[in-house]
Amino acid sequence: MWKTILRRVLLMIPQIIILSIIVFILGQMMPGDPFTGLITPDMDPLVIAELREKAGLNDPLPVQYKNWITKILTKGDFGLSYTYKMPVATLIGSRAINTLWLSLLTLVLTYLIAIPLGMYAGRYNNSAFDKGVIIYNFVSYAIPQFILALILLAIFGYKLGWFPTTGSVEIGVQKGTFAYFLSKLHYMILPAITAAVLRTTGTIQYLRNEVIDAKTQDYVKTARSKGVPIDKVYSHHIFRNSLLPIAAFFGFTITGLLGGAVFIETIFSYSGMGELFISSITSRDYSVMNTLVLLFGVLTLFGSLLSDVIMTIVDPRIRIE
Amino acid sequence: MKKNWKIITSLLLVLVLALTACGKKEVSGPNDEEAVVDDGETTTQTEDKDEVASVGDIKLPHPSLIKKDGETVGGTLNVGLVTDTPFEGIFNTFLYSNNADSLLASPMKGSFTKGGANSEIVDGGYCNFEFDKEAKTATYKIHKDLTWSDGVPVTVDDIIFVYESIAHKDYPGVRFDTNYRNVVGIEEYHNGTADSISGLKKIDDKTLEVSFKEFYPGILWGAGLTYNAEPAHYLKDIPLKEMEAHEKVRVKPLSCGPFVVSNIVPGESVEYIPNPHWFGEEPKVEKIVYKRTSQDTVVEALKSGTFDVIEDINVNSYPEYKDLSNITLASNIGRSYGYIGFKHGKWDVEAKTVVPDPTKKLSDVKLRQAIAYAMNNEEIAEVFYNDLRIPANALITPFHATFWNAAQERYAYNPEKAMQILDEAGYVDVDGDGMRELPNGDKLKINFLSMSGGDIAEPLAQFYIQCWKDVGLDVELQNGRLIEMNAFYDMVEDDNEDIDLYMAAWSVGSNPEPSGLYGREALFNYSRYASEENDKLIAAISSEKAFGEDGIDNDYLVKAYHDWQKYVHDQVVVAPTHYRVTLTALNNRVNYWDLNKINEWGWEKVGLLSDTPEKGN
Repeated sequence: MWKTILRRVLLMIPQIIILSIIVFILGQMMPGDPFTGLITPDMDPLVIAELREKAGLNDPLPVQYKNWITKILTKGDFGLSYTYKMPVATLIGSRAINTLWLSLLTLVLTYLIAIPLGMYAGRYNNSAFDKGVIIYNFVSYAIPQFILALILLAIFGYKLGWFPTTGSVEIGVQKGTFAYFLSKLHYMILPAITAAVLRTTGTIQYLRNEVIDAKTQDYVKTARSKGVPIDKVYSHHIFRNSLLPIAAFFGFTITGLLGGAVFIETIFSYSGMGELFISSITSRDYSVMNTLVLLFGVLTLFGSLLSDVIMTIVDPRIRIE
Repeated sequence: MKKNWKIITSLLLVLVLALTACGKKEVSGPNDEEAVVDDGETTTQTEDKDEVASVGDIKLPHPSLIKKDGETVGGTLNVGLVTDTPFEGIFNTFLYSNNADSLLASPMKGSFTKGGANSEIVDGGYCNFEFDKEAKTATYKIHKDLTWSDGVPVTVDDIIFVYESIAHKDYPGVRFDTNYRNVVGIEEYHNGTADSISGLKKIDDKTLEVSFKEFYPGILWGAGLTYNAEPAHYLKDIPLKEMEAHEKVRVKPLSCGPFVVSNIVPGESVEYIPNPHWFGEEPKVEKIVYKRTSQDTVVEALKSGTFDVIEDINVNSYPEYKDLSNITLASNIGRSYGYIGFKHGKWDVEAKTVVPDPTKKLSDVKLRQAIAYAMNNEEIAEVFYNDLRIPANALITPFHATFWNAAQERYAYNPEKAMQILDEAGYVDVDGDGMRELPNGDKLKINFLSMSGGDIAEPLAQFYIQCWKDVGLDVELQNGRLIEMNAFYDMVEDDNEDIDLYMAAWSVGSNPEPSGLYGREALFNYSRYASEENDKLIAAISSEKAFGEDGIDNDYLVKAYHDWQKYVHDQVVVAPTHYRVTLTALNNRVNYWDLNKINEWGWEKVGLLSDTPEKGN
């Protein structure tokens, strides 16, 4: 297995190089550049021209690409953000932390809601509970995320005042203290619930179907006939097998989490990666945009590898060689 | 391997999707707002005690000055910063480059320099100026008690520091322009042939004389002058290349104004406390907290009292918040205008000058006049903008009320007149398709370039097209669709062959002098109009004659501005569409706000009348 992993990792190198070239060329092909947005009557066109020259935007594409990639490879320097005027790595780092915490909470909430619902709906399918879950599934799948966000904000944020409505942490709380952690959590709950509700749909559906399927499988009958109590059959035999499809996607789920969620981040004014990615594209913040696409590319490649590895761990029938 | 290629392909697809999903950018465009809901009601003044403010003939929907009596209680003033993206947070006046940072810096900046009726520099700030036309100098006179928030007095070294930073070869910002290059000795400093800027003469600790190569009227508006000092003792050891990202600029800036930053969550919120070393009146609130918030929730936030102040609130959701019982609105005229541009010629990249082309489709002034008369700007203001846009009559905005010619008659909607002009000029329908042909009988097909962004961009563009069709002009959207902002400016700037008409907007600077937008050598003269008469009239505005005995010769300058406005109006160089009303929303507990250009307002004077914000219904 280790050999396979090593081979896959090595294969990623040419993939990433090709990705970087395509990303770079596509980025530069977009109309406008980071300085287009600066145009105002107060702005001297000469200054803008000089900034373009200084930033190397007048160089031929291959030269620009070479400069960019050499800096990354030799110094680990991803450049400065044109918009935020700070090192790209620092900028992405600060956003990634926010997104990571929010995503983890979302993931925990998703599984907390989805796994019991899916298991019970599958176990007692066609019961009133099951029908309730199906309705929940339809609704949560159909409701646009930003509408849900607005509804939750209006009720729990503005009306009842239980949760903060904008930002990711209370201002003035000392970093690293327990109060800071609590404040972060307080700010994350509403956005996390919003994101989790949408994510539960797929998980519940998979689980429910798997459980219903598994009920008629031979190994379940065997277990029952050997006298294993029904609860134990569900919690040990069926549960583990039903988790397979979820486990298979887990690698991708983790990658997806870092991508952030644009709507949620915008509505809750929560500074994260999704917003950064979109705004870097619209403002032509090349250095940030290119780095992010590369990062997402690498994460996706690792995510698929991780999924395969997880599969071999949870499913003894699968072995990668 | 096959699977991996699938991954790459799907990644590319995602990327392409993301690239096509265009968004907004902070550049002035006509369509950069969201949905407009017209509830059919007319604007009513809810507070009967407020007088109705007006500029010229323009009646503003809300007063510009809000002042309430009563004891203030201290407390925290919560200010909402409406933006979809986290703010940059560069707290340095020569480095920041966007509006959000400028707003965030305002409690610290106070009024270092003060602006007059025409936004020219006048006495009354923390720093006053003396101008000497003969000697070609401007002299900074810093208030004797002005002190940084760490207790160190503000001196001329802090001004020199600003000049030396801007002129430094490593300066990463946008301010080293022709105006700064006009300072004596600054080019030498920039090129490294001098250790200091010879044109800066320190008279004493609080007085600095700046010599200019040429002394032109723009200097009275601050051309080549800094509006702010920066603490040299605090920042000078930081290399300029690292300054933008440095903690002393991002997190712990010093202030010489009424407030100083006490806490920052980068990109999200800023907390200010009164500056203990400030020389002026003691601030009325104990804290100011600026918090970023989303446009989608701002009405709810106002209603619940989350924010006491929302500056420059989006006018598109006006019907939703205008009747909230817990807020007071203040309004004033903004400094921008929308316009329909005509392509008159080309930009010569080598010679850096506009080259007019009389063969252009819209080079006939009669045709342009007809186009202007056909536009129903009144209805657009009402239907699309809840009357918070005002049909424009000139290329100087009412923001510069003295120079703006309020009496100039605009091309008010008059389709009959438009048709009459076209008939007289020979644009008649010869082939019977309902659309007019050129006087020589050729088809007249006009391409209209319009920017995407916001929900009303498309209906607005279609509305104008319909207006023109109504008088028999065959106008079509270029490429049949709206164009994304960056592509739009690329096409306009490159004088794309197919553009005849385009819709854009300008936000004007403090000095309304038009050479930068309509001069022959101005790259931003996107309509590429040039004529000798225009050159002459613009030159008159920036001529030495604008200097009077004491500062500006207002009579001369007003006439010069009026002459130019009339000329560009008669020639329809571009057709201005609307001026904008800006609104600020205040919770009822806020005691004082003033949007008038000349005012005594300052952050230190804003107080709260109760401990808890009022909630609305």
